[in-house]
Amino acid sequence: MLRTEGLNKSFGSLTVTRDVNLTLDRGQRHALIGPNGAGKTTLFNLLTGELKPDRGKVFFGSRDITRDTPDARARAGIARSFQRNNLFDGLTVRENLLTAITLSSGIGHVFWRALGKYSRLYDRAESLAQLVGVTDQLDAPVKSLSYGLERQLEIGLALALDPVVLLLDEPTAGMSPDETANMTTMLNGLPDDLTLLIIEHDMDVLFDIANQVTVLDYGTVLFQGTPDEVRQSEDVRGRYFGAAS
Amino acid sequence: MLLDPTFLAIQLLNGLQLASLLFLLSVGLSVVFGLMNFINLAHGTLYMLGAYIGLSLVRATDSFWLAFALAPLAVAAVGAVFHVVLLRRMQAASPMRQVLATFGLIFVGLDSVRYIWGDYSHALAAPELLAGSVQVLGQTYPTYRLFVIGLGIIVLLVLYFGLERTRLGAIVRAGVDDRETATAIGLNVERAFFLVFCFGCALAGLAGVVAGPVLSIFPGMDISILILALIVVVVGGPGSLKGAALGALLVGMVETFGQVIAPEYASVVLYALMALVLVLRPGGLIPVSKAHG
Amino acid sequence: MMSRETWRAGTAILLLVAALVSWVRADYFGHELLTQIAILAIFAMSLDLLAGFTGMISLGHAAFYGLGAYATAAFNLMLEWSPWAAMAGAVVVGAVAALIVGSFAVRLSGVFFIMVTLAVGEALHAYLFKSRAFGGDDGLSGIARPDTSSIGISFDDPAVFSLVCVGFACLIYALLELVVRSPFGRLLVAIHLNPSRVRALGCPVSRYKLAAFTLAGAIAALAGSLTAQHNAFISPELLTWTTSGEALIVVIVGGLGSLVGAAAGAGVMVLAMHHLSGVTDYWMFFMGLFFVGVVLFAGNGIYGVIDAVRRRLGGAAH
Repeated sequence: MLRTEGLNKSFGSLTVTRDVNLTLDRGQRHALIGPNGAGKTTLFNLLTGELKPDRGKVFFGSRDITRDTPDARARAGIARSFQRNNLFDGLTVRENLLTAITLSSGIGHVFWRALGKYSRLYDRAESLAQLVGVTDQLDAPVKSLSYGLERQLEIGLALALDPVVLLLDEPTAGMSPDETANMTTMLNGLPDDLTLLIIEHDMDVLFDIANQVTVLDYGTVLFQGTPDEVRQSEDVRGRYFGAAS
Repeated sequence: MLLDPTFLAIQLLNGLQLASLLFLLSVGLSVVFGLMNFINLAHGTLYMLGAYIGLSLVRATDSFWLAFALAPLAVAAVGAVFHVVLLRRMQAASPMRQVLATFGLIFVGLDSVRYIWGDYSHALAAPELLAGSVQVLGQTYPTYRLFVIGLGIIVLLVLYFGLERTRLGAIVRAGVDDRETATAIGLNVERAFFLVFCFGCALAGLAGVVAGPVLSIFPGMDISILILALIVVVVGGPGSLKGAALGALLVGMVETFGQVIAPEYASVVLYALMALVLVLRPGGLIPVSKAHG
Repeated sequence: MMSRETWRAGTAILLLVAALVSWVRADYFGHELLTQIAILAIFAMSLDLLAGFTGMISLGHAAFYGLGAYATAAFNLMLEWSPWAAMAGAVVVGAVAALIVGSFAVRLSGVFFIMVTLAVGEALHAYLFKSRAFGGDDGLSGIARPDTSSIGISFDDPAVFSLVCVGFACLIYALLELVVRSPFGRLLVAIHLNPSRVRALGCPVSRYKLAAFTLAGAIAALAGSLTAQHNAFISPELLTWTTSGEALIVVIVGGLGSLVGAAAGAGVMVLAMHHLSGVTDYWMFFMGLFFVGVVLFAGNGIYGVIDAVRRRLGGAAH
């Protein structure tokens, strides 16, 4: 579904992505792990187009999208959430969701008809709010939400695009155990044909969701395999789990 | 006409002279922009103020050199007051609001000058020492204009070594490069900004006095030069001393030759130059390499 | 609790009633003022679409206003188009010019955008100031208003022309109100709040900003065209930075992002200018101070006060 070929990216003399080959099959639940500074978020930004690689290519299906802008990739079906909550402060939860839904319904250019007349968009906003658990806060300003709810809305915005591939950057970071459990349940309930790439530090969440794992270290792919294989790999254990715990 | 060497030489000198004034004016704007992402639209007003204060000082003391020394100080004082009363108060607000406030001050400055010095335009006589002229390829050329060119070069050199060799210069360079880190390692970027701001104001005042004998002094002299200075900042690349110098040189030349060859289109050519730079090199010709974006 | 939009529409109707009442009571001079207010309201609302909704603070918006006036004069006087055709042509010229300027300006961030729009406006001013074809600093005169003698009224009558201008202001308000309520308009606000996030959601941000810039340029040109017909005279004065600045003051004093605030601000501005310039020669001094004060203290201007009342009432109802 989404594939990279020899991806390289440097900032000055610092190489943060080195010859990364990654393949995501349709419906795969793929986790990206590695210590801080391993280049996980940079890889995300290369996949979504916020950064352009120095060398290498990104394919979506059979199409080369290396030069495509972030918005073109989002329209093609690659959605993402951000590591730090990145919402529309000053709007309500409903308005936040509507913004994303407006874009995914392809009516963003309509200037001759009030948004209020598109009732199906409002219905969709409510069902999305239910999915990510912010129904009670629909008319609350985003600024008034708790951190965990903001995090859930963050994912709601990405889901509003009806993505083919969903990239989640640490969806449970900073959440309480309860919130984390809710998030895990929600992610497991996503449609089977949705391809998921997820950066996650919580190993319980990871083994619960993922069926494929890629370990990044200093910008290179250290290991690729199933969660069980990763668990058994001495190399990964030494470099990552050993260091992390 | 264009191929006449005398004509070319004279216009080149005129271009250099305008570039020199523009450099004095835009270097403060540019470095402050690099430090704080803030642009003082009333910078032209300070330039005008420098010219008028210079005018009054010359009238009172009969000495150009006294005005030359004191007017920049007076303008720096005005800038300091302005910074303390207004800008510091707005630090929490977005840079946009600060910029808008300085825009409001252009109106205030313009009418203040009209009120104090009247609507008419004035001229300042060049000091006796420089009142004569020299021969350039058989043409007479005012000595004073050569002095303006020399002054610009001296200020450029002083600033260059000041930035490279002094502690304040090091703080300023660090602040332009990456403000957060510079603050985090304990450099007093705030104070450096204040000093740079006042120094930039003094240079604007200096440009005003120096321009007195070359250009006429009138209410509204601020805005046309402000636009040129803004183009210098955009073209050269904000935050960069070399950028301000190169930008001033380019704008000074384009404006001077434009006014002689096709006066109707001079401003359009300048604007096209700016547009071209923005499209091809959005960071300016000599961009400051920022650690963050 | 009534929505923001309902209150905005209510305020708009109140303003219209005020305009109509003053139209009935106005003498010759009153009609002149009313015409000025209506035209400034159109100009300021177009700037509000940029500055208030999309977050693009332009200090060169007068360029499109002035272009509209010059295009009207050129089409009417040089090509001998009818006044209506000249007006339509002026709107097209404004839109095309905004499209050209916007195609690189909309990519710039806030402070850069301010500098570049200011510079563009002044460059155009400097060009027209020197251009022989368009009368240099003397400008051009003799621009005609539409000839409607066939239906028995004359646009040359100040009472008729002021009503026409108020009508145009209503039309533009209705159009812009529709735009800001539309999906497109809502996205403009989202772009203002968080451009990178809207982009990540699939919005071609620059194209949307360019569309807003072009629409605003076209409307500003319409205001300029009406001014040209009102005064029967144009000069480079129309494009100076002070004209852009006044429009921005109107929008900020009225309240950014409210449309009706811009219209109310236009009324305050024209009346204040009228009265102050009778008292002092230095009214720009006071206007500048007032502007700094509004930027410093009164976050959302006149409309901010109305909105605060709305929230107060809404809070009490709960």
